[in-house]
Amino acid sequence: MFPELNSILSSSPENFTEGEFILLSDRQADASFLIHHYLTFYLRARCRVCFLGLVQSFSHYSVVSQRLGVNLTQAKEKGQLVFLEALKASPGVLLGDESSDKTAALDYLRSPCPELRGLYEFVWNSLSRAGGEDAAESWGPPVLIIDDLSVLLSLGVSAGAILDFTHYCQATICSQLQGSMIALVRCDDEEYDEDEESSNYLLKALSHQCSLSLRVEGLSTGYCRDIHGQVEIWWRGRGIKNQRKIFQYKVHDKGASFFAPGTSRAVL
Amino acid sequence: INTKLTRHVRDKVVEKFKAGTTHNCVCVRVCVCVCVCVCVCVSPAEEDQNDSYSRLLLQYFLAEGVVSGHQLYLASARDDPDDMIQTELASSSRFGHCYDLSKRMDTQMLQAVQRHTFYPPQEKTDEQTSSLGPYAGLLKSIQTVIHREGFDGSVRNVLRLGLHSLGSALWGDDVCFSESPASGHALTTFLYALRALLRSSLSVAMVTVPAHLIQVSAVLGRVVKLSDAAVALESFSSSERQTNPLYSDYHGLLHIRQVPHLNCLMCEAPDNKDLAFKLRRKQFSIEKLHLPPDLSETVSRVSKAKGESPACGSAPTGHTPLDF
Repeated sequence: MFPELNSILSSSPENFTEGEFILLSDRQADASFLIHHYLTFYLRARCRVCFLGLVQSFSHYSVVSQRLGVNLTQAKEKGQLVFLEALKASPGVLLGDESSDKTAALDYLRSPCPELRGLYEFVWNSLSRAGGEDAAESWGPPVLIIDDLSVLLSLGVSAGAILDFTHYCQATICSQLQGSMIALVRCDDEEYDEDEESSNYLLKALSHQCSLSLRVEGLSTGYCRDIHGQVEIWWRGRGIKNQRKIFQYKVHDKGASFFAPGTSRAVL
Repeated sequence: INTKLTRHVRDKVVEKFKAGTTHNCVCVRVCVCVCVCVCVCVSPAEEDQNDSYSRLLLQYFLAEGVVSGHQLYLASARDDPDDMIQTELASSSRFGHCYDLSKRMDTQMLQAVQRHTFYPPQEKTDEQTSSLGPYAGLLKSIQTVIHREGFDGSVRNVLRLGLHSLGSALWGDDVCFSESPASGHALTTFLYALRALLRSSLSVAMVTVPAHLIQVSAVLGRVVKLSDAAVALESFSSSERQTNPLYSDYHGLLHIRQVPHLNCLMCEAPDNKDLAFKLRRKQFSIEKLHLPPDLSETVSRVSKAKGESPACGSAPTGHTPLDF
């Protein structure tokens, strides 16, 4: 996790808001560094985490988390982390191999009209038993992390089906179980907002559902080696609680630094 | 390899993993689990030429495989892959990793290479039942080769896959001529599954896509995001070259759309992303785009002549006498 981001968001593994739906998004940039932040944050906070690995393999997150001081393999063995290796299982499912994964979680790859009910059931089964029958330790609130939602559009799942899925997840995990949900949506400038199957449409709809939004964008002035982009943080509360702030950021080998626009060390 | 970009990207990737991992075998494995996607954008007048630029990069990629003793897998819908391999580049010069475009590779060297090809006219077409559409056969073939040759288990060699012009109509895909294609997600689903296969084996793939033909704007962005590294070649039309003095020395721009950051938070960012390419007689060179110093006419003419010698260094060089 990134200490600077924690202080900006006024949260820490010992003290964080429950029941949050955090929406991460990017445009002309890559917000996946925030996924690593939240994964390590909630594991440090001793929450039970269900991670849907739709775009990268477990070993990728494991190596990065190691650098950030969290051991994913251990967390998986202890039962704290449930990781769905959706990416690696996909060729077998798509080609209808005999030996492939038969679980309903990957149904969105199978059926002629792909939908996500099977995936939702997987999430529910992973997180609904908060303590676990055989758990020696009881974990904190359940957390769902999805990396990422927009790849489902590339696989032929409709935006409507994705929104249904997130709605069900939010209702169960955030409202019912008082846990949190973090999802990443990746967008492009080339897509038209009116296109109902575009990431932009998905992003708009999810922005209304979320309680906290972090939008990562490249700099409007173009590529810069020392400033990788900017993050707009939007606390979607009511009245005074509704506020937006913009920070510029730079990602390092072992973390990320955030600073007010124009105050990068490279510039000052 | 003379295409500095691929080497640049590959060097950065290898550097990163060597720093982060302790086992050499793991280092080799992770550094090859990438899919490089070369997208070609073109101004309409130059169509044919531009498929030849991306095809050239593919040939460099495969030639490097031949020299390194890797196995090759080449899939093409337009040209017979066997023919493509036969017309490979020659290996010349001291380092063995510099290629001369005006020569052909030694046939003995080519014969020693283990190769697998996929040419749709020669494959039997199964029914397209999955969302892979016309690419189901290709994915099955790749999966079979990887498993049969042991790249997902015991073999300590690399499989280099070259997939030519995916998305074009010759593959049976209508994403390049329809605004609402029937197999709308076939290409992206295929690239997704390809990534999965690469992650579980010692293989690396280079895919070329005729970006200028794709009618659905969202598809290209998705193709880039589904690749680990992505490069776009944008060639100049002849009028652009004449009007803009900055472009007169080059054939087009090379845009880096995506740099891989596998197994790390962030890879080293390049200094600048303004690169241009030029197809010379003996090499395809990629250089940093910059204005030559504002010196007198005679001096800049001399510096242009210097640019003819093949450059095998790892850093892109300009063509002014002041660079060293």
